[in-house]
Amino acid sequence: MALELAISEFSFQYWKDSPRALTNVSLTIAPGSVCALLGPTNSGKTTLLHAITGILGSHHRDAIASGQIRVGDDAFTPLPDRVLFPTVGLTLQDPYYQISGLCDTVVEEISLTLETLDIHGSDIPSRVMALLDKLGLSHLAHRKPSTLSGGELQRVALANILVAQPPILLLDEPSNSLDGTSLRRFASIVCGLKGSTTMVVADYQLELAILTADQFVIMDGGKIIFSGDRVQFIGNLSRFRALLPVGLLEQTLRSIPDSTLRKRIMMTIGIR
Amino acid sequence: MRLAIPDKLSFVLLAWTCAFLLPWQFNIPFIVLLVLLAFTFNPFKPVTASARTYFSRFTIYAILLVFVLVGVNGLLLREGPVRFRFIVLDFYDAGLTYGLTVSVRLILLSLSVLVFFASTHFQDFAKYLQSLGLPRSFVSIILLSMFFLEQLPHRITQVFTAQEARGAPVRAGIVARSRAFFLILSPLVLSSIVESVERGVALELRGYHLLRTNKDIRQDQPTSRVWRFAFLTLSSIIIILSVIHWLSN
Repeated sequence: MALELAISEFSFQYWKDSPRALTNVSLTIAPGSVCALLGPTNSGKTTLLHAITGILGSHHRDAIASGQIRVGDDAFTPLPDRVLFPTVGLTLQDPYYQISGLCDTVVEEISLTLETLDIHGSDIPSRVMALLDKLGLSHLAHRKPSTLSGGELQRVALANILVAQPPILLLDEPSNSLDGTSLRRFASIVCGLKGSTTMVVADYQLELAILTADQFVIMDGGKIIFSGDRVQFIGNLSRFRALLPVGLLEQTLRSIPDSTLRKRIMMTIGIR
Repeated sequence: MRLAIPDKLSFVLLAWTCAFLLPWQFNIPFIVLLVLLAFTFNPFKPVTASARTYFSRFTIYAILLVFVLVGVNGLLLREGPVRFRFIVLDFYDAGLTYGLTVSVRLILLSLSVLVFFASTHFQDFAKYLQSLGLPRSFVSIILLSMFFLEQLPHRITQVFTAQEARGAPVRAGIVARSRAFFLILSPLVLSSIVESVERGVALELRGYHLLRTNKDIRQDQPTSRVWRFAFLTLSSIIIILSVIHWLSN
């Protein structure tokens, strides 16, 4: 069941004299919704995701942090000091790293997550196969994970996390290794998870966010500079031309010669 | 038939005991046996296609290594009678024997370890290490290092191709190849360390550190203890006989 994620006045410094990686970040994400966390590189998106998962708290004991992170009913002040998996799942920027290297097949790789959670049973293979089917990966079930393409790896990395059915799922720059077709497929997977999982999609590109998100947050220099719904975001897009590849998206859409199709796509994603 | 990991490790121990304590005449049949087992006996067969490829390559290189080591030592270590003459080159008895001893020992040591790792799934090995009570972080380090070694040839090929694509003559000849190899080695190792850290974090993010008690993952099988016992007994007998032989001389 999806959980609410709330961050209030959260600030973070890796060590005493370092610049603040995050400053007064406040954000509430409704259960089952998708929040797009947008911003250029070095804006603090990954740091925020790592803080929510607990990896930051458990690895940087000397860090200076303030504020609060609340995952469902569990409040952590200032941040979780242990990894919160399987309550919070995170897929990394580079899906290649999310492959353990311990398993010979994709099925084994995904089952490893259940094994580490001490979940055993005869239904595990069928559970894994059902998930692979859902993600359009059944044909890769017996392939060696390290031989997969970027888009395939991205979905396997997602499956590694999804198999544990986390109520909160964080995706760190998932569109990095996806081409147009893979991106749309990935977007439909994310949309399919709406309602059952609360999701945060951190990205510097707009396509996946526009296709999936209900709530849009823009970060720059460790601060939130915009937060709003789809309509507000689209209305303010031109303000963020310097931070986000807005022009590229609009340019691509406006270059579609068929005006009916162009209008249909622009209406679908909410651009007028 | 199935051999558990402790049985295979006992076999490796037996191979190492033989390599260090027995003369090369005994070890050559052992090497042949190991190669045969790796191709025909299920518990020792490589578990993946790439492992099979590496194993076959290693076998070919090992044969070449024997010839090179024996030849070089036979030529340079000029002690004892000349065993044979090839055109104008004299090969001496002591050198040939020394070359054979060293090369056979090296091959038996490395081959036995290679057979073990090629025929064992990483995941099974991880479970075994955990069942011994080793900390999760330690097991991760070992496994990530193994994964790095497995990926290394592929990475080297990738870097070579990238360098070649920008016109660097990395494959122009053996000298260029060797020079390029040493140049890419340190960045390759450094990037692999960074990568291992990332992979470790990713494992942690999947709950790898949580984990249950070690008793659940014990995989001892009563039937396979016979093999363990046999291999360990044989190793002990060889050690005892060698000590007796050493004392009596």
